[in-house]
Amino acid sequence: MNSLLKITRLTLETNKKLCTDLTFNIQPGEIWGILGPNGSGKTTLLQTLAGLLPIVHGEIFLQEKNLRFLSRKRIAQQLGILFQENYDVFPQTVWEVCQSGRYAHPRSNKDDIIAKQALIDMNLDSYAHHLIQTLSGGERKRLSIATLLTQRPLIYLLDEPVNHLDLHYQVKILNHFKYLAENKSVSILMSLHDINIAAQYCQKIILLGAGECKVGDTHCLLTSKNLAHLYQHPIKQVSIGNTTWWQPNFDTWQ
Amino acid sequence: MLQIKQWSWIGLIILAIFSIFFSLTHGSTIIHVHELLNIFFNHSNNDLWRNIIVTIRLPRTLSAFITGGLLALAGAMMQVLLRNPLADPYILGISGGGAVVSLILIVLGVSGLGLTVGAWCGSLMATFLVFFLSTRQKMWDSHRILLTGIALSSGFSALISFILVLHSNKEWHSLLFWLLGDLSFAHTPVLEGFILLIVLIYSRRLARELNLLARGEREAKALGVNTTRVQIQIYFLSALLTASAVALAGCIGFIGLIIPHVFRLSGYRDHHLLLPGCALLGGTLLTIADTFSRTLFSPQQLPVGIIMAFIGVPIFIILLHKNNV
Repeated sequence: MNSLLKITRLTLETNKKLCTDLTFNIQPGEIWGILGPNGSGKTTLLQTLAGLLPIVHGEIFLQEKNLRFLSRKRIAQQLGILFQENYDVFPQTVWEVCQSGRYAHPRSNKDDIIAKQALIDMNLDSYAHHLIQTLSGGERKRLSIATLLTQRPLIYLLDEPVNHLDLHYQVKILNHFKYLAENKSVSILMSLHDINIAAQYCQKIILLGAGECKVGDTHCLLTSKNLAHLYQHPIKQVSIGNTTWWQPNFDTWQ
Repeated sequence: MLQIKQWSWIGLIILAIFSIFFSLTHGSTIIHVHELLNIFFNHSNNDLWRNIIVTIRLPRTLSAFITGGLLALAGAMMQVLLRNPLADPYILGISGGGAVVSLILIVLGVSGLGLTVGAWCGSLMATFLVFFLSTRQKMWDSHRILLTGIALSSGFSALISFILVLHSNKEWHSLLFWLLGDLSFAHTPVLEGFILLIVLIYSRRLARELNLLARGEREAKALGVNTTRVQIQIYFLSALLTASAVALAGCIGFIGLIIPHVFRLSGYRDHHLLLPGCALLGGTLLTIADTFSRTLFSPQQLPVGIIMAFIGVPIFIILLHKNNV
């Protein structure tokens, strides 16, 4: 099977070197997670893959095409990114924002149906004519996700998709993406802070931190030793029934 | 929804026509509308009035309308470009460059067409200066361009003060009028009208991109907009509009700031409608303001910039209080 996204020997750097020689392939239908402490380069990785940051070393191939030579529109037809934060300056309505997800695609009479469905999926359809400035943090996040769903890419890059969301929506949204991966063969790469969510949803994991990065299957990489080293904090494994849960040691203050 | 929008378009157009008639009929002598129509349709035998209308009032009214349209359109684009609702067409020092060159020419005794061309060149020079000083490694950054513009604009202000201090004589009066914005020396705005029309038509093609860009550069890029290309286009288009307005009437504040806000705050956020709407309402407002500036203390004429501020400040504050945006 052809990989949707192929990364070869990618170097990530901001002011400091974050990661060198990152190589991995994302196949259709896979869900990938990125774990790592603050400032380890999760956002930098996602934005580089979206072509929003310059590629210093290495290559990124989007469906076998080099990302460097693709137009913004071509990229957006196949790849969508959810940002951590939004900075809204001008007034716009929920509907206007959601509908803008169709920009990269040729106009069609299905555009409105797609946007409406995305709002329904995110339980925002009754807010369609509200101004985005009146939304709460969680509602704004759901609107960003609805816009991304309207875009209908093949690869979803999600930067902390569940922050700002209550538990119900965390599960609902992750299940929605899982459904898309399983039934529509889209791929998902998301940065997370919750190890349990990563263990629950992701088949593959990227551990970013301390100048090194590890890529592999979730069940291989998620070990107490790896995680304690990654976060510089003791993390223990708790088994309840057949499932394994990860829990930080709450006693340490270092 | 569409119904309301259509009605407001009709309202805007009626208002624009009203403002033009208001401006044409008022002045040191009041010429009634029926007389005005007689003149236009060649039925009048009053040569004096015909002369007043055709050679004095009509060019001035058109100048006011077109200047207002240019500034409001430039303001709407500039606000999206800089992602700052407080931006106006003068914020990047475009008018400052025009002012410096014009002042130097006024001091040197140049007048008329030379002055207009000078203001044009000065404004465009400032535009390119800001552009090249703020682009680094071919990367566009709206914060850097805003700060570069503000810095250069302060520099131009200092230069203007410097010239004014050195030349404290009778040239002051015309310099002051120019700085405050004044239409009394405006010529028939054929070129400027043409520019307004062309930019207005062209900007319709950018409207969808502007809608997305208003949400943020990063967001627009992620959704597929070639932001750098769009931003450079908006920058030079709004600079062209501003330079035209500066050459025509000096520095008239507030139009470029409040008109786009009037639309945004009253629910017109789509740039397909917002841009032509701004041009129409900007023209209307400046035409009315200019009529007041000619007639309030007649025969003494006020710079229209002063009237504009008197009208603009309260409107703006009322709008801000009504909407918590």
